[in-house]
Amino acid sequence: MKNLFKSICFILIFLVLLSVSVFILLPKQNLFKYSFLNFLDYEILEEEDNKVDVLFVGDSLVYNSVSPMEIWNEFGITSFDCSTPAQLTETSYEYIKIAVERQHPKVIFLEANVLFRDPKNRTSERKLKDFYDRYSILDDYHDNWKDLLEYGKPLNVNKGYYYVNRVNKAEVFNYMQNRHKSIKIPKVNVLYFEKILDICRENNIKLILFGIPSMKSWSYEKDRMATAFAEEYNLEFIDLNLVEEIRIDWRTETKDEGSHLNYEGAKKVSSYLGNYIKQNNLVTSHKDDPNYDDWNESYRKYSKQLQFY
Amino acid sequence: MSYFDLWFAFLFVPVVVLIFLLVPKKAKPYILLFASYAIFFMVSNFLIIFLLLSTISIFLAGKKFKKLDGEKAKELEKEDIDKKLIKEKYKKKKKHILVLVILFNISFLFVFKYLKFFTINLNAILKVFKLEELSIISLIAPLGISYYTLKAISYVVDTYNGKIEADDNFVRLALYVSFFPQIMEGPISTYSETAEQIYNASKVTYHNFCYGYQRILFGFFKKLIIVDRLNILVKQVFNNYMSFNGLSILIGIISYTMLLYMEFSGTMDVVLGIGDIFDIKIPENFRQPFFSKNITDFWSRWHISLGHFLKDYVFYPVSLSKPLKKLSVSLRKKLSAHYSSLIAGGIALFCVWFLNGLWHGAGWPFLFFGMYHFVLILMGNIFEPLIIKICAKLKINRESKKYYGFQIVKTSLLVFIGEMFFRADTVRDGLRMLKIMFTKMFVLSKNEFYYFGLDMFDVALIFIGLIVVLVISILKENNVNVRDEVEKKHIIVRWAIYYLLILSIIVLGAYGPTYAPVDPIYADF
Repeated sequence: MKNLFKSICFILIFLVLLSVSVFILLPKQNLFKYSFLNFLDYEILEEEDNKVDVLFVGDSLVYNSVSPMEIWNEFGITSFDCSTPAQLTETSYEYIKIAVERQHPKVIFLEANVLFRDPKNRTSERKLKDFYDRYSILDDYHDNWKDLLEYGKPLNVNKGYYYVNRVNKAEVFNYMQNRHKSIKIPKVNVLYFEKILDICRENNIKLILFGIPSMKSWSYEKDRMATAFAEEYNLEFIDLNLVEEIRIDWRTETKDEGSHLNYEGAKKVSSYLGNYIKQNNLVTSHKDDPNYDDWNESYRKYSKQLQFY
Repeated sequence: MSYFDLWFAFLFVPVVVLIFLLVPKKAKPYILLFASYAIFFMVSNFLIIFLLLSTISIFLAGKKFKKLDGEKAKELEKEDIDKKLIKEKYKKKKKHILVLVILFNISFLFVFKYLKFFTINLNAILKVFKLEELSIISLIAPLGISYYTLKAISYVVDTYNGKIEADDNFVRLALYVSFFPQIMEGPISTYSETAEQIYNASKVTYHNFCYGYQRILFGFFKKLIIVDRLNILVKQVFNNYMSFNGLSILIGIISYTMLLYMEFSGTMDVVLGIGDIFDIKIPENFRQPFFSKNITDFWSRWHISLGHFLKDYVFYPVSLSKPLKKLSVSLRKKLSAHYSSLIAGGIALFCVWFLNGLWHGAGWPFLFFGMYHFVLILMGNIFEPLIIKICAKLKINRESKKYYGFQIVKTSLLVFIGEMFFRADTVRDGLRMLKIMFTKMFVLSKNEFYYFGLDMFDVALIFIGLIVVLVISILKENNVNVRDEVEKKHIIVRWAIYYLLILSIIVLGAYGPTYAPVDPIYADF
């Protein structure tokens, strides 16, 4: 009985100490304005309000392929990856809804792949992963002690991007040829997509659909369907799988045999998107704006990370 | 899989403990066996059949030995018989079984671990003679085959020699061979060291549970604070050694040796910690190896169980074999006792180090690693009388602390170089690195240090981590058990230490998106 009491005390004190540690390590921006779990789910809440001009919304293809820091360095555009693993259109909607409460983005790039993901097909393994991702706070934040010592506050260096420079080459085949696969966009996704469209109209945000290079997640059929879908809603659709300038080398620019891009691939995609935004005058550059010095600071740390890992 | 997987240490082990506590005493060994086979099955699926075949083979061999011993005793009771002849007859029978079972077990090891290496080298020979080359087959080996095969061999040899009695209880033997904390990376304990303890484990006390987890956490500390950080530096140096100077390579090879030590000894902390939970004293595999006076001393402190195995089951049998005895006798007539025993012992030593290299992996760098230590130990034995004489002449006190310090530095340097060949992709790479160390020790290029891949915080943490381990090692070397000492402290101090340990692992550990954890190195051997 005495030992049981001691064990309970030990665990309780441990939980208190752990919570204090987590609190110290977490970014404080917006921490008290949202429920704790909401704060953790939507990484963009860590950003200072009204500084992000472009959102890239979607699943793991987004956070593996679009590096906002590369775009910042090259074009002075502030952007953020509002992406989560195997994101559903419903989650895209929730994310955008929260994001526009704190930011005034001019453009949202919505990844078309989320439209095809049927919530009914959510496997229990995926649900377990979702659960783990949601509660494994320390995986993402524990290293913030370095920022606290160096800058006095945690810096969100990657802005939602997941940096991996590993190469795991793919067996190359022409995935963009017609294989007559039957695919569809579930009705529930259309419903949430229309809600996203409403938010964009209300907030005067330009919505662009885009497809990210992936041998395993993308196909000719998806391209055709997304093109038709975009036409139906009178939206732009850019399929980066077909863009000549990007042209991914699947032997060197993928981290996992063609599913996702690695850093080398992400650089190409980011540069193309940045240039697209610039060429179309969708947002202005903040490169020389002293209010955006923290973005330069983040970039310095980001580039250090590129040399280190 | 790794013993450092969180689910293993903090979910699987507690669940096994819980079930173990709930079931009646008779069922406890079955629970441990089930847990062991579950882990094996999880990693190697149906390759578990090979583990079962090994276990069954040694179980049957033991039974057969027992039966033959009984028959022999009966025959010896009879009158008017040639006892020597009968003994010879049974010895021969037993030897046949022994050889058969050893070959049976080694054949699996050969197929899974060495077939590819063997075929590649055979093809190189066939190519010279312009013969048709064989196709190369690479297989995924069953979990821990290098460890459980040696355990199986030690059991069958010990029963053959009558050192232990053959086990009639299959569960006890199976548990000895496959006990889940030991299956992946050893220690290669003998049957007499652990079989009874594991089978008879009956309780998990509050004290043992805490005591075990303290050691497990220390293992995690080594892995997450030191190993996964050093890995960044090691990868940088070994993968791009041509762009570094000698000093950087020296730092790289010291780091690799530290990484190897921390990874393997950290795993042993988890393994022995789990043993402590069940009150099973699994033998230590390390004893402060970096306080060694010479290479022989080092190998009695590093991977102790492999050293014991090779000494007991290779060195002694070879040295005491008839041909070597004959050679020793004939040499004694021509040479002094020192040199004649050196030559005879040298042959046995060669077998030990050849097998040591081979055991670590099917590749020339591993064989080179084995031969490197063979030469060092042999040289040490040859020159020992000379060194004693020189020290006496120069009036150097070989028992002084200064001399001990010198010995530690010398031994460590030799170990670092050995581990460099161990880690290098090819022997040629190792030799090139050695050359750079001798020719470009301090030539600075812009790549030095900055490109080690670590930031100042990582470097600082590695140092702090190493200092913590060093202090604990010094205490251990002086027979101070840190866990026992902490236990004597006031509860506030004690708990503060535990919290510090746990929180430092959680907050300062090298995990998450920016780090790539080191795979269990010794699990591949």
